[in-house]
Amino acid sequence: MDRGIYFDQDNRVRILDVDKFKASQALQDNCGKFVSNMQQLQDSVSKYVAAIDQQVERIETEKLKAVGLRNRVAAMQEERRHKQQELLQQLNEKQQELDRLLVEEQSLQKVRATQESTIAKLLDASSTGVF
Amino acid sequence: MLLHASSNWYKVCVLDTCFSDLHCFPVGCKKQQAAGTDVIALACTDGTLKLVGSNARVEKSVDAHRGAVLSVRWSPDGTAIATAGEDGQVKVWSRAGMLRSTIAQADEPAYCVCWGGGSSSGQLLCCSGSNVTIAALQGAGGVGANSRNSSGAQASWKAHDALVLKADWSAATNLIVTAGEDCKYKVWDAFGRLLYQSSAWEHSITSVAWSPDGALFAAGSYNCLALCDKQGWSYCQVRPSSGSLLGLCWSPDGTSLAACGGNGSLAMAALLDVRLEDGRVAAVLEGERLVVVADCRSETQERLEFRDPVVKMSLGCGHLVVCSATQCHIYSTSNWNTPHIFDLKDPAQLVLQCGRGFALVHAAGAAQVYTYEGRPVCSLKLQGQGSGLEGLNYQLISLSTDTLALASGSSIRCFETAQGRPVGQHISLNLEVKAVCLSQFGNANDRLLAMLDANGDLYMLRPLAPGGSSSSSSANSPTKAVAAAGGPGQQQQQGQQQQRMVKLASNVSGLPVWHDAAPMLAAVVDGQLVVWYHPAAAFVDRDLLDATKSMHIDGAIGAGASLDLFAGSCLTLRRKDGARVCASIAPQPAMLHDLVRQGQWDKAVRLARFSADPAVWACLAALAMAAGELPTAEAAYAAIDAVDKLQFVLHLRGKAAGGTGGGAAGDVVVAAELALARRQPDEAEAMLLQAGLVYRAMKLHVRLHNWQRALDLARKHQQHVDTVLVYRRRHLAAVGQKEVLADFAALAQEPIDEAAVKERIRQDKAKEAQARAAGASGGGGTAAGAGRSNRR
Repeated sequence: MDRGIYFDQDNRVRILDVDKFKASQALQDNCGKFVSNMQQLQDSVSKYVAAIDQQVERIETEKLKAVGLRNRVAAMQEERRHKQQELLQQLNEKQQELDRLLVEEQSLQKVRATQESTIAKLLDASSTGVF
Repeated sequence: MLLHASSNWYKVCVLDTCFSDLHCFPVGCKKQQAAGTDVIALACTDGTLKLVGSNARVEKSVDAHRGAVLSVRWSPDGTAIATAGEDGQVKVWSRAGMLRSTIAQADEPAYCVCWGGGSSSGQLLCCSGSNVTIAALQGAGGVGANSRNSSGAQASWKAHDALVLKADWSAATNLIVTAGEDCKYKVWDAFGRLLYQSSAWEHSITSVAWSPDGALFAAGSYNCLALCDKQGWSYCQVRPSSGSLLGLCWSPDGTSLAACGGNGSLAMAALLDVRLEDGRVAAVLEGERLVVVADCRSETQERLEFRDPVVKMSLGCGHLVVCSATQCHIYSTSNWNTPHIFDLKDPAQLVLQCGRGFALVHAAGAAQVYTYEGRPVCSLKLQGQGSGLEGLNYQLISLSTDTLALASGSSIRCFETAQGRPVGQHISLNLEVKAVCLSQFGNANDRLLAMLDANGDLYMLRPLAPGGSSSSSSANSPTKAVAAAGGPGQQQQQGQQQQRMVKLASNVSGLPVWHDAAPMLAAVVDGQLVVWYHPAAAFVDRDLLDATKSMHIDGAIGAGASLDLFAGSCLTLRRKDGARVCASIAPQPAMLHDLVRQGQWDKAVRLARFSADPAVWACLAALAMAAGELPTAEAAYAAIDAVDKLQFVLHLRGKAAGGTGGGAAGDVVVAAELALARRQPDEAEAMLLQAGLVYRAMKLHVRLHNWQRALDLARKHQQHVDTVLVYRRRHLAAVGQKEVLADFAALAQEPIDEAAVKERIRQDKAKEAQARAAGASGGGGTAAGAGRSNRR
């Protein structure tokens, strides 16, 4: 290719062909646009990824919570059984105590009845003056 | 029960292996002078037995078992150590760590070992698999030096459906409690008879421990600690969050309990809510230092606060005695504001109360008697004759206003509480004594002692009554009897004691209890409540004993019940399942005793007539016979249709009224006849001889066919020898037998003038009548004396 000196329309000296110069200038512009577009894309992608990560984290904690809850539900049944047994045992104990107290009350009632009948007998006798 | 966590602890020493069990040197045993060196015995998982001294150094380490050592226990006297290991062996070691013997060998690991106490000392109990084995060490002392490589008799039984994890043997009550992996605990007696079986718990029971006095035990499980009565039923449960309770230990005074949990925690429990009742007053231990007293008649409540934790308290006879470790407070139930307080040198182990005062028994074996003003009366040395007091509890000791009775093994000793000297004869039964109880009524001569032996047989005797041969003439005979113990005299005394000891019942459960104000005895026999309105009738007229007994057929009581209290006309019982039951008796017998004590016989007869109860009449008959009150006895015997006795009383009345209305000689004759009716011929003879009535004394023996004694009497007084011979010959002729007695055979050839004999008898009778006539005006001192002594 021949090297030469060109003049543009304003008659300034140019080393590059005017057409080529124009084409490269257009290319430069387009590249700049492309780069900024890419920048934009990256921004939005990273934003998206961060959002996804956040979501993942939340999902993970929720999942753990769910597992925990599920475990607790499972354990709850067992615990309830235990609690029930414990309460039953306490109930049993109280029932035994109640039975004891009932027996005591019954015997006290009996003693009271005997004493009342004795008093009645004594009153009756004293009115007739036997003793 | 109150639970609280403890945080004060310090490190003793660090071992290179884990240990599975430890036991401290028993406190309060006699070998304490040597206790400074080896204090804690440790069972280690590497199979060694380690002894750690108080200076926190491992003093000794012995290879004891193959596999881990699982349990270790000092013997109660501190002379030996027993270990049980995973290899199923149970071994006994000396203090120095020398192997003495291998007691048992089982196929499965032995999880627990414990020593028997009291009457079972020298026996070992071990648990392997689901079995429990009791093995006796040879030698009387049990752990004597010559018992190397020897094992005595064994008893083994299947105790649980699964592994037996823990067992404990109470020295005080000789009961065994076992805890199993089948979630049950069971109570056994020392013969392996099942007394109680608990319902199945949630988790396996991992530990049990008797309280020092044997009245309670604690059972530990996963997050659960229960306090149980010795009958087996549980008072309460607490739920510490300490995992499985692997070890339990009571404090020596029985007021607090330490428990170690599977998660490494230590729980301390204090025994609270102890409730005492006496009539209208109830005292409850609400805090360690707080007693709340409620009076239900005046509906008042008092809060008594103390500086130190309360160790023992006792309520009865109108007084509340509260002992802390250092002080004793005495309150009157009528005035709670001004207690009498005095300091204690030793902590009291038992508090015994009676009408006039109370006794504190210390662990060292000394008892101190105080009045309710806090003034010391006397101190008694209870220990002696090698009997330790480790197993002493309320059942084996009894206090009345003037006497204290103490049982150890099969013998009972009595002390009078004015000076603290031993009194009465040494009493021994064939079997071990389970309980003694002294009557509270009257003075020392009225004292009656009820005894219960290991078979459940109930006996009664008069501990202070003089021996049969020595009657009113020798008032100091009890002390003589003690001095003469040993040699042939003792055998004779034992024979007399057998006569005077009366068996009242068999198959008795719980304790016999005397009434607080009258000589009445109550006991649970065959699951029925039986009250003897006048047990002393056995010493007057044995046939009346059954008539004075009253049975209370009450389905609510049941077998295995025990009596708590007998006061007024009310009895309190504790059923086998722990229920308290009240029962009442007729008030007339107590009133009758009261009237008789005041000497109001006519009122007593009217009371008996009013009650129309044969038991009351029988009581009156016995009381009247004991007092020689013949008209009353006549009425009473007539009322209970005892025709033979009535005839006898009428005969006596005829005698008493014979001649000119009684008199000295007549009184003596009647008193002697009454003594005979009491089956005390020796007493009758002594009375007659004292009054100079030789002929009658001789005749008495003739009538008893006690020929030798009759002849001896006649010879001694050189009267009526031929009279005896005449009676003897008549008797032989009547039964058609030959003479067999040497003394009579020697005199067989002597000629006898029957007419002269008859004449002399006539003369004697005339003399007696004369004396009687003279006595009617004068009043004979001797006869009155004899009559009085007779009225004991």
